Amino acid sequence: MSWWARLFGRDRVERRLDAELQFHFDQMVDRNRRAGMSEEEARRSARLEFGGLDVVKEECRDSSRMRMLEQTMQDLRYAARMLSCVAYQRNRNTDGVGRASPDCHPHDDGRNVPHCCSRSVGRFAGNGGNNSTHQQPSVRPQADRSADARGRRLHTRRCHRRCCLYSSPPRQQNRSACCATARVTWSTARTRVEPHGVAPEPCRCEECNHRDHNGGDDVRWGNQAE
Amino acid sequence: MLILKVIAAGPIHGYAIAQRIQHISRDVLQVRQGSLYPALHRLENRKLLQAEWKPSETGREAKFYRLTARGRKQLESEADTWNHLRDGIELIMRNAGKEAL
Repeated sequence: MSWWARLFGRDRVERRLDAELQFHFDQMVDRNRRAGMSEEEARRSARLEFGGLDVVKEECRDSSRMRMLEQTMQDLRYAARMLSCVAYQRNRNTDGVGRASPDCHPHDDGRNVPHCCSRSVGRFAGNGGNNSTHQQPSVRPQADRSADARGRRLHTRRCHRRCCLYSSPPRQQNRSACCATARVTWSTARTRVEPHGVAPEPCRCEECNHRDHNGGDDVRWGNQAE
Repeated sequence: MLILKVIAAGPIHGYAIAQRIQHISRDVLQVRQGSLYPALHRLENRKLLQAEWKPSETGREAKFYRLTARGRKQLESEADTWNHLRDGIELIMRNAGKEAL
């Protein structure tokens, strides 16, 4: 089979691989049946002897040289999607003077490439990317609708924009010590005060008035139905 | 090399290759499916084997492999290498003890 047929006729290749392995399995069942086993016993024995069908299939796929080409094409598609997102945001979300418009992505002020997009390009370049910046914040609030919404915003913010495939705490590394303290204090205090239904005031320092800390109304936060 | 040698006898499907290796070696060698099929696919990709679907002895369609000219050359080359290696090992096993004495 030509490499073209392998690349674009993947379903056909998969069906043929299935048929080939199924033939082998059925032959083993027949052999066991001829040896005097019952139908069920013959199948069970053949299954044990054959081992994991999916593992064999995966190894067969890996042995194909097309595998590398397929993965490269997947990476290309991913990178193209991310880059088109950047272009879309640049055209739509800047107000003409380089500032972000109200519905702009919080990671992108219209001038910088979002880190999720740069990651896709890096992955395509072969460094594998780094998921560490996309991990969830370690401190997360428990679901409590009576808690102060502003306080919750300090803890969870999940981007729902299409370009961000991973939620992440934006600019967490730049968060001031004051905010970090406030966050922990709020978290522990809430646990203590929660039975009375009172949440402590969140930090109101100058740093926290920064839009990245307070956020805007256009941003959807965590699992809140805001 | 064993797979190429078995296939050199004529078109044969995967199950029969495993059975023939086991039978000829008198159950000394057993080829597991997890090794056989990836190896067959690799050899096919390297153009050492050519595959075609046709009815088997049971009347059901099966994938039959046959050796290509390139595969035949590869088999000869690997058989030569194996013969050299076997001769070397045999010499060591036969003479190493005598020289020590």
